[in-house]
Parts: sequence; C-alpha cells; structure tokens
Amino acid sequence: MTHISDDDADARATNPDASDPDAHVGRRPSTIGGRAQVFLQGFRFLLAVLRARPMFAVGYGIVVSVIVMAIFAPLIAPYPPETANPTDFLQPPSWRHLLGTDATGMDIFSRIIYAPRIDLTIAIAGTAISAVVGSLIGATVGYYQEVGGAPSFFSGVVMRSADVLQAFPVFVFAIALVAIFGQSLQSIIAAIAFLNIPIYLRLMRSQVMSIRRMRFVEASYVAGTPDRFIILRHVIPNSMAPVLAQLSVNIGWSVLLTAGLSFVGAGVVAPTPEWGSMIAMGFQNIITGQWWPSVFPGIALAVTVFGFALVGASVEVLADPARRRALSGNMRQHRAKES
Amino acid sequence: MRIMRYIGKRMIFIGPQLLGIILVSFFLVKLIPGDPAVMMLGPMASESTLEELRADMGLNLSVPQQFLIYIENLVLHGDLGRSWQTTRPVTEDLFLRMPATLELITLGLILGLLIGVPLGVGAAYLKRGILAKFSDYYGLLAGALPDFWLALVLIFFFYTILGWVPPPLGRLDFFTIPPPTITGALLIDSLLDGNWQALSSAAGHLILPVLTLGLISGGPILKMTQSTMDRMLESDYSRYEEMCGLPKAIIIRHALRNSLPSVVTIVSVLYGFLIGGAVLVEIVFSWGGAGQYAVQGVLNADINPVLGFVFFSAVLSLIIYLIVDLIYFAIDPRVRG
Repeated sequence: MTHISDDDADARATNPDASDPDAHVGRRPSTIGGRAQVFLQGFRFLLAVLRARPMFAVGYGIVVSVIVMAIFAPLIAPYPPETANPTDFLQPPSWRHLLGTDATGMDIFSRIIYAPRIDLTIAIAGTAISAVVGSLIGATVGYYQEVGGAPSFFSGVVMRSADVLQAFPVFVFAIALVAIFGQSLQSIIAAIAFLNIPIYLRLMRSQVMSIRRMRFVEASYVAGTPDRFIILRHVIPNSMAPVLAQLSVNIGWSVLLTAGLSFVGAGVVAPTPEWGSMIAMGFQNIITGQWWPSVFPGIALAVTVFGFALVGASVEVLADPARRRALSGNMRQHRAKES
Repeated sequence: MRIMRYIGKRMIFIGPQLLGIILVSFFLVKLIPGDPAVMMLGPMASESTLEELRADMGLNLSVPQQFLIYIENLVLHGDLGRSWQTTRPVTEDLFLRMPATLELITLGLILGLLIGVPLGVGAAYLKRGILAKFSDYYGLLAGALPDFWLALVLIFFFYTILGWVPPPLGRLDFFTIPPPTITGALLIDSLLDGNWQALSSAAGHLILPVLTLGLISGGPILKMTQSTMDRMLESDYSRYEEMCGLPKAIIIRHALRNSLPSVVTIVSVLYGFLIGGAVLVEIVFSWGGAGQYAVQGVLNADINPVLGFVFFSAVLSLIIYLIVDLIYFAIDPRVRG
C-alpha cells in the first residue's frame, strides 16, 4: 500500500471527504526527515506483518528470488541454456548436471534458471497492460454508467461485449489469438492482456460506481473540473485497492496460462527455455521413467505461482482495513508472548 | 409459476447471446492465417483445383456472406459444417467427443466436491486447528499447480512406477470392444450394455484424469465453502443456536445448508471453465475430447471445429446456468419468495 499513498494523500488533501482507509498515514510530510520517518514506520510495519504471518515472508522471498534469478541467469547457470549436447542426453540428476539433462542433452538446471526471463516478462507485461487498459475503460464505464443518454448506452454496450468475451472458452480463445497474431512473444503478451482486461474492467467499474456518488467527486464536478480530470485525479486513485490486490494473483495465473499455451505448442517455441515447453518436451520421457525433464520445471513453475499467490494474499489483507486491524491484534499478541 | 416466468425471461436472452458469441468467434477465427484449400489438397495441387475447392467451400465469398451462409445452415439444418481434418460433419464429431469431455469433468468436479466441501466445513469450524492450516495451503497450492504437470506426475507414480493404472492412451484399452453409443459416456453405456470388461477398462482409464481435475478443482471449491461457512457460522442465527445449546452437528448442518448456493455457484463456474479448460489434461491422456478437437482445429486452420466447439460450449454453459438457477430455486427458499 505504501507506494500509492503519495497519490492517495494528494487526493485526500484536496478532498477531505474521501472515504479513507489509511487515515493514520495522514498528510504528506513536508521535510525530508519526516519522509524518512514515515518510510521507516512503514518498513517496521511490514516487518511486524511478516513476523505475524511468516507465509507472507515466504511469498515475498520466492518472488524476489525468482526475479533475481531471471536477472542474473547468465551468472548462475552452469551451462548455456539452448545448447544441445547429444552425447549427454537424458542424464539423471548428478553433480555434473544438478537436475539432469533432457532428451537433446540440454542442462535442465540452467534452463530452469533462464525460464523466468520469458515467463515473467510475458506474465508481467500482459498483466500490466490489461490492468491499465481494463482500469481505464472500467473507470470510464463506471463513471458514465448512470449519467443517462448516449454515455450510459455505450457503457452498457461495453459491458455486454465483456460478457461475450468472457463467455468464450479461455484456452481455445487464447490459442486462437496467438494463431491470429502469429507465434511471437508480443502476440502471447497481447493474448494474455486481452483475456485479462474484463477482470479489471469489472473490478474498477464496481469500485468507481460507488466512489462516484461520494461528495468529493460531486464537489469537484460542481467546481467545473473536466470529467477526464476527475476520473484520472480523483476517482481512479481512490479505487485502486482491489486492482492492486488482483495484480499479483493475476501474474501467477498468467504464468500458468503461458506455460499451458507452450505446452500445446501455441506459445513459446521449443529451444527457448520456458517452463511449459520444457514440461512438454519431457512428456514422452516420463512414461519410460525419466521423470526429471518434466518434473523439475513443473516444480519451479508451481513454486513461482505459489509465491505470487501469497504476495497477492498479503496485499489483500493489507488493503482491507478490517483484516489489517485483525492482523495488528495478532501482532500485539505476538509481542505480548515474546516479552 | 414464478419459476416459469423466470425461465421464460432467461430464454429471451439466450438467442441474442448465442448470436453474439457466434458472430465474434466467426470473425475471429476467420482471421487465423492459413488456407484450408491448400492444407486439404497439399502444396502440389494446381491452382485450378484449389480454386474449385475454394468455390465449393464458399471461401471465395466475402466474410459477411460466409457468415450468413453459416448461420443459415446452423439455424435451418443444424449443420455446423465439416472439419477437413476428420472429413466428417462437425456436429457428428462433437456428439462423439463432447460426452467424453463431459464425463471427465463431471466426475472430476464430483471428486472436487468430495475433497473441497468436507475440508472447507472442517476448516471453517475448527479455525485454529491443523485442518484450517492444511486447507489454506491446499487452496493456494491447487491454484498454483499446472494441471497438465500434475497429470504427468500422477502418470509417473501410478503408471510408470506402480503400474496400477492402464497407460494414458485414450478412454479404453486397445483390445476392449467399446459398448454401443447411447449416451456417449462410457461408464453409463457399458453399464447399460452389461459389458463388464468395458466398464472396468473405462473406469481404469478415468482414474488419473479424474484425480487430476478433482485435486485441482478441489481448491476453489474448498476456498468458497470455507469462506461462506465462516460467514454463516459468525451470523446471528448460528450464534443463537449455539447459545441455546444445540449440538454442533445441527449448527453445522444449518450453516452448510445456507452455504450451498455459493458452492453451487462456484461449481457451475468451474464447469463452464473446464469444458474448454480441461484440454491440457485431455491432451496428456490422449482423451480425444472436445477441447482437444478444438485446439487441433485452431492449430491447423480448421475453423469449423473451432466454431462448433465454441457454439457447443456456449450452449452447454447456458444450460448449466439454467440448471443452477433451478437448483437455487430448490435449495434457497428466499429466491422462491
């Protein structure tokens, strides 16, 4: 939450009426020392949260280490990820090849280290695009839904189109999109972004519809602020919380979808290290007993998605005032036990 | 009577909804590059034969014209065109494959319910126990595991190592004579036929894919049951019952009865999702289901199977949502009003 509180504080400073989940954050401190203090407080709060809920710490740990792994892959990986070594095919895990080699003799450990470069790029880019586009459309639709006349009509049309999009079988739809745009990184990102847009559209719309009726929005409207400015400046910053909670979970889900696409051969193409296509490559070997080419990438994939899900769960708790209070109670109990 | 009026109202919207879905998917799949005529006749075919085939398939008409013809065939003759891969009418193919998918996901969701509901109820009632912790992790893990990977791991353990189940190649053993098709679901057909060999073979082949789908779909069912039960047990009527000293079993039963609508909702959502979403598991087990058929269609620019599949699954989802509404009427007296 801390990273949006800047905008939030702004919105609140101009609109004292805003429904305010973080009342204690208060106004933006003006001095540098004050800022540092707020930052320190936030950091301490985070540490306390992590102590009370160690699983959240595990989640953050997983996400950070996967990202670090992706960035420093060339330094960590013992072998080049795309070089086949036909003499060393299907070696079981050993000291030479930590997680063994696949049917073409590529080192599985190195490929697993490189894979998040592709998987996370696709998932994060796809999620980010859908969140921005979906939120903007959702905010606009929510803002104009009850105005009447043409704007309401178009809002209705947008919502019905979202209904139709969501009625499609997700997976077939994704494969069709990739087939249309051609099999490239950009088209997989586009497909995932496209599939996720309705989620953010709905989330944002329902938030905005309730925020729109609040007095600070009306005040701004009466003061003659243009609609565009009201939406961007006042409405969106105050309805971001559920979208933020959704982001992390959605990234994990997109990683799964990317892997699924690659598994059927409509995603990332074979020699490029990617978890789903690695699992697919080991598919035939598992029946004859060589489990390592498929099992290890799957574990890496599951752990990553698990980590993002935990981070999402933590954001959900921190963004919900009631649950945060419950958590603070937990933390006090912890401290009481320790002392 | 209220229910009849309600269903009638729903029926009015079904037509336009279906038309919208077909319209969007038609123009969408028409964008998939690849010329079916070339794919059917091979790269060596002469231009004149290609042209003839295109004219025959109506490919030389404009896309809106093709759409009108497609709709006309569908509405007047129930014809969804032919697949050039199987060279058979899509409706026949789908009537063969849809039951395979439906049998799989129905059993998978039943298993998911058997896992999710008891765990969810237990976790909601014993908030601080091991069961609640386990449920939390199970929910997160089920959402994180790729289903196709879980299927492979299960195959490795139960087929490769233990040899308890038949190889993951289709719905029956090679040498088993399939029962005559009545419903298309092999378990039911072989029961009706009294063919015990086919029954045991079909059941054996179902074990692993059903286990995969059950374990994965148990997660969301568990979460939904847990959170709703939580709310119900916190509600005034449960507290009142507790104060009156009613036995735990009765309190839980009443709370569960009131949680059923949301469990039904999540199951219906999962059902709609799995019609197309089970495709990865189908591929792993060479199931020959409808999702697999559609994916093959997309990958080979064979558009009729894709359209047919989208149409079938849209109709099925609508039927499922209708059934769900009927169930609401049956289990929730408030809806009946």
